[in-house]
Amino acid sequence: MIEVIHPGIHSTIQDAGRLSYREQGVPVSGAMDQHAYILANHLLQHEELAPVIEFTINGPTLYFYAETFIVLTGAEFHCKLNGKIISHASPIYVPAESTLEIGHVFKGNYGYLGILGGFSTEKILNSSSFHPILLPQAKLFKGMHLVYVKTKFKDTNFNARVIPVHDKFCRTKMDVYPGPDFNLLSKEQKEKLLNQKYFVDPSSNRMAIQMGNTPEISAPEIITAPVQPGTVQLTPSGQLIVLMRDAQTTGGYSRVLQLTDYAMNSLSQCEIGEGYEATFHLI
Amino acid sequence: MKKKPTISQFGDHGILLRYPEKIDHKIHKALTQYTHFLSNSFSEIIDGFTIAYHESAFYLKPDVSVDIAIELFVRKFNEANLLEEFKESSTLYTVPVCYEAPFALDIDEIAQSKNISVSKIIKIHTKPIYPVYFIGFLPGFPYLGGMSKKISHPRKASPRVKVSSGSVGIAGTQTGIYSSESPGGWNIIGRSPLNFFNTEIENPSLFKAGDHIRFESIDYATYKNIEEEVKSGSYSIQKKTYK
Repeated sequence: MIEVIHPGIHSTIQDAGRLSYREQGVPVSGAMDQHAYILANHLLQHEELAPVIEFTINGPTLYFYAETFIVLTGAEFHCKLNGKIISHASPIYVPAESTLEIGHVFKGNYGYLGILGGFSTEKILNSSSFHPILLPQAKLFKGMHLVYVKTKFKDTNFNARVIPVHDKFCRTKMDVYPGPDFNLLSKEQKEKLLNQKYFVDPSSNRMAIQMGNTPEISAPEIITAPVQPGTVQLTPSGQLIVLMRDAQTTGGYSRVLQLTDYAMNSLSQCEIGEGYEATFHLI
Repeated sequence: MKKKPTISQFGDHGILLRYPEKIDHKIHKALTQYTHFLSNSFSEIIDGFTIAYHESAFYLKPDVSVDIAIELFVRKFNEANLLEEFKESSTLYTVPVCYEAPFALDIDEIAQSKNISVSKIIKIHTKPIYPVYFIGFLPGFPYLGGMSKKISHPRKASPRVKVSSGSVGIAGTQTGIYSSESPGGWNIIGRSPLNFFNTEIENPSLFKAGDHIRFESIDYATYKNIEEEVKSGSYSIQKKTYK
C-alpha cells in the first residue's frame, strides 16, 4: 500500500481510457501521453497495460509501506527517493518504508509513475481513469491510500527492450489529417491555419489545449457532430482548441484538423507559453 | 431514406459516416440504423462509436487498419436491401417530471416572456413524443428533437454553477435532461426523480440514440414517492415498443 503524503497540483490515476461508452456520452479519458503510459508498463514488464499515476507541474509525495519497483516516464520532474535523486525511465527498487518526493517539472508537462503489478484502484466502466463527472473525488488527496497488485519482478536488471523515447518537448511538429469540416475554410484560410507558428496557452487542461498566437481566421458553428481526442476546433471568434483525453464526445465547433496519436502525445508534452513553437503538418 | 451516408477516415482510428448537415428525423433514423448495423456486423474490430444528428463516428481497435475497415464497411453497404434486413424497433419511455417549486426554477420567467400560463407550458412540453437524437454533453444526457417553438427560450446569459441531476431544461428550441449534476445554462422547468446515468449497470445511460420519450407531469408528493422507489431499486420506468 502507498499513502499520499502530498497530492501535488493535479495527480490522477490513468490508463488507456474507457473506449466503448462513447455513444452514451462518456468521455474517453486515459493518460494524456499514451506513449509514456505504455512505456512505463513495458519497463515494468507488465503483460497487460496497468493503471499509473499521472501528475503535472508539481508531483505528489508518496510513502511506500512495502518494498516494490517503480518507474517514472513522460515529463521529467525533480524526483527524490529517501532524499536521493533517482533516474528517469528505468525501473527502480523501492525498499519498505520509503518516501518518494516528485517535485517540480523541468521538461514536458505530464509525468507518469508506474508500479510493479499496477495500481488496483476502483474501475468504473472498465477503466481506472479518473474523470470529474464519474468520480466525486477525481484527484489524489492527502492521506489517500493507493493499493496495487502484488507481483514479483522477473528480472531486477534494467531490461533494454525499450521503445525509443522520441524527441519532443522543444519544437513540436504535429502531423494532422484534414478534419471533417476542413473544407469549410477557403484556400487562403487553410494556408494561414497550416503555416502559423502556435504556442500552448497556459489555460490548457486535460479536456482541451488552447493554441496561442492564432491567425486571424474563424469558422462557423456546425450542427453538433462527433469529436474525439485530437480533434482541432476553430470557433467563430477565432479560437483554436485541440480536444484532449477528457473531452466530450460531441461538439458544435468546426472540426478543421485531426491530430495523429503521435501528435497528440507530443502536444501533451509541448512546453507551455510563448517562446515555444508548435506547428501543424498535413499528412 | 434510401441514400447511404458517405464513409471517410477520421484520424488514426476513426471512420465517419456522414449525411448532409441537417437536423432531420429521417436522416437521423437512417444514420442510426446504418451505425447499429455496422457496429453489430464488425463488433470485433470496433472500440465504440458516437452518433450525432447527421454524422456518426466509429473508433477502431488500435491494431486495425482504417483502410481495410473502410473497404469492409463499403462492401457491407453494397449488399442489397441492407435496412430491409435490419429493422430496429424503438422503445418509448415515459419520464415523470415535477414542474413545481422548488424544481421549476425558470418556468415563471418563460411564462412571462411568452405571455402564456405555466399550466400551458406544461401542457405543451408533455404533449410530443420526442426522439432521442443522441447522448452527449454529459454521460447519459439525451439530445431530444421535436419541442414546440411556442416554448422555445434562449439559454441563460450566464450559466448556473450547479444544475441538479434530473433537471429538465429548455435551450432555444431544444429540450433535455441533466443526467448528472453539472454547471449549465439551460432554463430549468422541472425535475425528474429518475436516475439517467448509472455506472453500476451494463448500459449506464438510460436512453440511447433512436429511443423515444414523452414527459408526464407529476406533483411533488409523487416525485418524492418515485424518488424513494428509485433509491430502493423498486422503480421500473414505463416503456413500450414504438413504431
